[in-house]
Amino acid sequence: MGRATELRRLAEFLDRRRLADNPNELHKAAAMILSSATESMYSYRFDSVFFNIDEPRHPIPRGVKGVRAELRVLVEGVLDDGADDQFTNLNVNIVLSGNTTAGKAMFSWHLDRDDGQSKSNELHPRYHFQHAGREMRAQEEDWGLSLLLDSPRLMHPPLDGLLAVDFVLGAYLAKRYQSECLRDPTYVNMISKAQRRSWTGFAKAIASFVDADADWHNRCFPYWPQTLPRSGG
Amino acid sequence: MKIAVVDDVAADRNPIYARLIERGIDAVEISLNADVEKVADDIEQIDPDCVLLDFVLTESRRVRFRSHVLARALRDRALDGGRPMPVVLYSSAPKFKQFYDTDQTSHELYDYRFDKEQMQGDLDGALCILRELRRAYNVFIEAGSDRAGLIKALECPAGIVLDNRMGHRFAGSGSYPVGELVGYCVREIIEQPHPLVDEKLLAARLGVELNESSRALIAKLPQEAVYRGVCCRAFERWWWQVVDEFLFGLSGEPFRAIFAPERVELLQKKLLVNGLVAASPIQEKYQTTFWSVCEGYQRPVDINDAFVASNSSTEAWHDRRYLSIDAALRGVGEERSVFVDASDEARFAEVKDLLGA
Repeated sequence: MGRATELRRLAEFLDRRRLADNPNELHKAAAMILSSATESMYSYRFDSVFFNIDEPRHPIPRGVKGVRAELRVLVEGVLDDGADDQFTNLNVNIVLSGNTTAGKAMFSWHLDRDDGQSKSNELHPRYHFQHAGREMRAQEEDWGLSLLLDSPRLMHPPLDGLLAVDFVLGAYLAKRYQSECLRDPTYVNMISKAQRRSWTGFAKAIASFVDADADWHNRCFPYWPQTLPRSGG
Repeated sequence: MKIAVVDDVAADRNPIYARLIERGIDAVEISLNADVEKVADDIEQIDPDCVLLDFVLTESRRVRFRSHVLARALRDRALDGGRPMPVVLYSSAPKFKQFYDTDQTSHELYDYRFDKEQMQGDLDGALCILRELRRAYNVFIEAGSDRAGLIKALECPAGIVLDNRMGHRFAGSGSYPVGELVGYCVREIIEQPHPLVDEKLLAARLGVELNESSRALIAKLPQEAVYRGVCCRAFERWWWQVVDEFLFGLSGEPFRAIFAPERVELLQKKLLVNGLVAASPIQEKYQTTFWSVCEGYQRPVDINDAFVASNSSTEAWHDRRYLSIDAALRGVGEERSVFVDASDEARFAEVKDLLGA
């Protein structure tokens, strides 16, 4: 099954189960793959796919209503299922919003691919999650007593469009994720295949931490920059 | 251009008829007759380029049928080998609201509909639409009236992959009534957001107020983005996919995530257009990452500050239409039968309850 077909199947699944609003964006992303793919590369992006979070857990502010997550994804990848790093560019944004009597409440998470060219000194794992970001800039006067600094980049396996949807469902629609998604063999097969493709190289790089050869650190470090070389290899 | 005018108001008291004649249009008044087939005969006999049909024909009490019956008879004749012709409805806004909006089964019978007042206000625009509808009929008669003909008639730029659900109902073997294809083009492609966008939605996504400068900006978009398919002279539209790619190339990131003032700064710098004004939000606290147009206020809105509007299309491959939270709470748009869509009703109820509206 090609990547475009996978996105369409996922859109149909989300639509059929009413798990997301606007899953048509995944169809558009599929069309983007078909119109832009070369022999070795493909790309797509989508946004405005919304997930209504009917039962938000431990929300702050407490009385927030109409909470939902918008998913925005940009993927540029290689058409080689065997490649260790499947992506050349990756950007996943999860924008949470809800309503309060004082106005709109927002938060966002984003996952990036770091190409190693960053000039800042902070640790940049190749694939990392970070909270806040540009989506929060408009709210800069509305953080109360929260203290926000440039947040740490938390190492995380890469998420393509399918895995990003799976992540949001698992994180914010947990009940339905357990009872509807994980019990649907088509869904499980589709996500499992995307995981094998996207995470194998990542898992190997992380696992090289326990390797004994001299090159282990070169393989591990880009993905896990906290690791330090061992004396004697 | 020859137009058959069917109205229960006599031609000498019909201002639109008079103005058509003034413009040199060959407008022919069709006498009303109690027998609908006789009226259809009279229309066929003059072989018009299109038929302008008053909606409520029963007010004069000369006939007992509404326009739907006549439109159906004309469509049937085209199916039986007659010359297919555009059938366009015209009536007053209150009559549309009372009789047309509530009777959706009839909508597919007409290629277009005009509010009589608006038609009088912009007769040139209305005539352009009528001419383009006639041209569209000719295109489908020549190109074939099936899905392949539909795709061809859209003159989609190279590199765009259209959603395979578009026009799916015309994908069977054999040809379909030309009127159905033209009506589909107008209702489901030209008048809906995605894959084409109109000027208002385009401006919202560019983050700009509509003015002379923003029109200069739009003129600098790639020429392939301009819609050149059937009815393009009557309806200015752009292929969103082409615009989107272009904007992504300029910014290196999805435009959706960029605030309007930053979009404006970027567009002015990269496309050398001056005087652009960033669109302002409906409410101070709304995000300026505009991506839609509020169906209530007709102003740019970020989808995060809106609910799905009830006038959204039911076709899954269209973009949704939206109603800003403020418009929804204040009932702005209700006079045009725009409400929060049933699919977003639960969230609306929560927010409404919270904000005590």
